[in-house]
Amino acid sequence: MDRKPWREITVDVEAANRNFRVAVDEGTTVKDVLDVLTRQCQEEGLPLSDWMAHRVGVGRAALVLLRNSQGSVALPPTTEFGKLAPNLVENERFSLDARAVVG
Amino acid sequence: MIGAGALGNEVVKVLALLNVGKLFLCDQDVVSISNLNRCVFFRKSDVGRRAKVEAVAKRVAELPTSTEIAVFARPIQEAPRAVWDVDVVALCVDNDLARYFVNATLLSLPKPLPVVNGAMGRGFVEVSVLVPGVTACLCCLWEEEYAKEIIGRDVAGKCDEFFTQQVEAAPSLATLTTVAGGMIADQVVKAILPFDTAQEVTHNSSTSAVGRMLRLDLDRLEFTCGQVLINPKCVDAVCRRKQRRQQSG
Repeated sequence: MDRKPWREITVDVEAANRNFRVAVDEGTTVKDVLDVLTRQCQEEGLPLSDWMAHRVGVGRAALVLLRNSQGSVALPPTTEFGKLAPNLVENERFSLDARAVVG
Repeated sequence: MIGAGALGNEVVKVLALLNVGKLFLCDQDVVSISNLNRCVFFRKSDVGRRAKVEAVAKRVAELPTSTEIAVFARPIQEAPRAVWDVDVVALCVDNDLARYFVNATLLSLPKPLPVVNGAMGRGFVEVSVLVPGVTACLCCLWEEEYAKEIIGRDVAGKCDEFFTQQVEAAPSLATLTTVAGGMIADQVVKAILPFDTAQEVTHNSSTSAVGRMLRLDLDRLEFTCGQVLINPKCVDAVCRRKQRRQQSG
């Protein structure tokens, strides 16, 4: 029997021009979500590297997950969703973006 | 100040016009033809002949300013100690390897030093105000694989590639340079002013950008200023150690 996920989050992924609903557990990290989204975009024929080149101007930049409800708090990749403060709520919204590189 | 390219030019321009006391400017590059479309202090006659920092110093001397400027035409890793004996670092570099080196140096200093880090994409600018060792550091948002890749690769030429290949497709780049440079200079000024004076100047007592990442997206018409969370498993071991020390002390 399928286990109900702890929470479901919604991530705005501009590269795919749509939102993704991602199931997370308390121990799921931001990096886990970034990896899933990267893989999913690749499978849909929308590689993040192409989008990054358009968005940032270079083919390789750091990705960042922003927590929209908290004023776009930037989450480090090792952050666990169960340890977010304030607590994660169901269907909370996040955005995937690329960091600017060129100065 | 680290970096005397597009953003470095803009930041120096603003700080010099504000008569900021003394600037230390470090950049190893020589002016190239691709710099001329956005760097206010560079001239055609500088191309291939003059170090960027020397061109900046020469033109700053023509401004009505009392700002002193000391320049170092060498890599960051070879910058003299004086470059770090300052009130705040403005980081205007064109690659993350340079940010990695600067971050490591800042974390090695006996006293925490604020850094205002700026960069731009094709339609947005990003400025973070961090105090490595106290707030998140410049590498706290990096994945381990990204850090390894950055440290292991040659990043030379990236800036030229960006500006020569992207300017035509993204004509707002020169605008972004000015906007990002202005935002960096604004945060530098706030960092060096006494707290009360900064409040008076900004007419704002409640906001501080320290520990935050400011992003102005002209494509999406959005402005955000979210906190950058500290990464307990940061790729920089010194950052991790300093965090542990803070928690235990």
